Amino acid sequence: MFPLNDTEPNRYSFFPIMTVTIIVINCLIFYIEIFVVGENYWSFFMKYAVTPNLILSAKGAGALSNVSAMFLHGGLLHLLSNMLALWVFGRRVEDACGPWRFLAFYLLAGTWAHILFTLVQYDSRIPGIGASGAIFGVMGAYLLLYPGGRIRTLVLVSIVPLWPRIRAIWVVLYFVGIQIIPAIQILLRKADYSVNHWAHLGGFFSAVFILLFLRPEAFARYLSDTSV
Amino acid sequence: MSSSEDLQRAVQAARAGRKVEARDLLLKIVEVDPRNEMAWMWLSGVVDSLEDRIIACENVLTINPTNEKVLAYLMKLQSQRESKPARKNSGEAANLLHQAKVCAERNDITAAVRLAWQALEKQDTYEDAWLFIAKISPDLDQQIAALEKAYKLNPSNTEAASALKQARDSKANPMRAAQQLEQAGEFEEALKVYQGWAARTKNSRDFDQIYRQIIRIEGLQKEKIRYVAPTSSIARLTFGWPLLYISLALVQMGLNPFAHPTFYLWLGLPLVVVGSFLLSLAEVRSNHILWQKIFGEQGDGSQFARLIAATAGWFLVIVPHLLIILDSLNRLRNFHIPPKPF
Repeated sequence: MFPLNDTEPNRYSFFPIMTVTIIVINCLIFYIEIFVVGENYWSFFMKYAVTPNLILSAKGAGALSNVSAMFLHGGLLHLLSNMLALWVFGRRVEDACGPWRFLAFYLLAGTWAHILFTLVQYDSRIPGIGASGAIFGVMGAYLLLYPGGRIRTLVLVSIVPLWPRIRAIWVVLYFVGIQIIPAIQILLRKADYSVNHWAHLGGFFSAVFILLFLRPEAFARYLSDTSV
Repeated sequence: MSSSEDLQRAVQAARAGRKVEARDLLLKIVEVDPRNEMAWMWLSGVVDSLEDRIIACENVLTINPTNEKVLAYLMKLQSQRESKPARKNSGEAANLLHQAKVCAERNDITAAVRLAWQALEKQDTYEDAWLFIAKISPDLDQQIAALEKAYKLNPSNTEAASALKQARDSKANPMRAAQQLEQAGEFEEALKVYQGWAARTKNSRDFDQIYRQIIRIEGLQKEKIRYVAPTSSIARLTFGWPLLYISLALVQMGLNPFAHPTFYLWLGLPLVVVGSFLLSLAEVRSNHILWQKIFGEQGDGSQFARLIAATAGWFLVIVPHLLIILDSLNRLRNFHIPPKPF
């Protein structure tokens, strides 16, 4: 299952300027990672990614690494999948917030994703990178604001590709659902995963803060149980 | 301020034609000093009703029975009172107004306006009828004229005074007036302002803009969107940026402010709160006391005032965040890269 596009229109704004800006910045930083940092990736990641034992001992870049890690990716597929998800879910969340408050919410969701990751995997020396924690926050916000929204989704049935319009609630719950078992295994058995499942859950649950960032009219619509 | 200074200001206001201001000052003086002859004398010239003028003159003569000028003026006023036709029709006018109100309740506005005018034909000093016309008339000019008449009949009617001010504002700046009404949750009134403006405008671009607003408000009414007071929106939006700042400050302190205290980071928090408040205030257009206190402006402040508030807000929000980043960069300078664990 792979989300491809949000099929519903924007209500308040014409163009999702902040979503596009974040995507462009992520791509530019990925370019720097590949063509400028290259072989020195370890020292680069230790400085600018979130490493729980460094965060907890107040060493390294602290808050800066918490923000910069949201713009670092481990490979092209990692980058593309995250940016596509941000494009699909971010546009209408930005529409409901306005660009600057959307940026604040995005950074907050990413921060809370890294905080939960740090608290659960407190002794980890492996740096955590990626925008996925913040994007799970955006997905959670989308679920709160547009539960009835429909997402054009690529579904592979055996080798047959289908792209139905699926309700956002099922798409988001699918992606959250597949985090739960690995997250429990990390917590109980200290299992080793290359995917930062706890950051995803941290980001997702921080979505409740979206209510502090909504435009006044969008918030009134949310309270009125009507389409935001 | 002493009463002689007040009297001086009142006289200046009366001479400049600012009758309401002069009357308020003079009433204040006679309240403190009921035997102030000059104040009563000037008051007799600035009050609107005949009865009030007579009372003011009688008070002057009680204080100084030899004031011949006022005695002559009083006699003139009394003869005016005697020559005024008796209000024989007041019962009939009240009956017509009652019928007009019943029509208005049935949403038959045309009949209601017609009956109210009939009541005024019977008795043109019928204040309630003028107020009723001002309330139900869809024509802004007619509303203003009716309110002016009502206010003239009874200058102590503060509701009529504020309604008159609002109606005049609506005529001068209809978009702003409609926005203020919408903020106050008075969608019906806001629609009335837009509709009145649409009827008057000759500019097609303005008309398109007004039409979009009318469609939007009608949509809100149709969807039964709950009204959220601007103060509540400002309070809600004020929390966003400080929450981000607290989260980043906590990360900077290793998630344990007791083990790794960095007190100066907390000093940034009040700045972020104030900045976030100013940003919210600049965006959520509302009739906030701050516009009056700082900028001396009524209503939701001018575009310039909002720009200043937003700029100050961004400055106060960004500077503490930059300080955290500077602290991070400072720590990074003394940071030794650990070896790979694998």
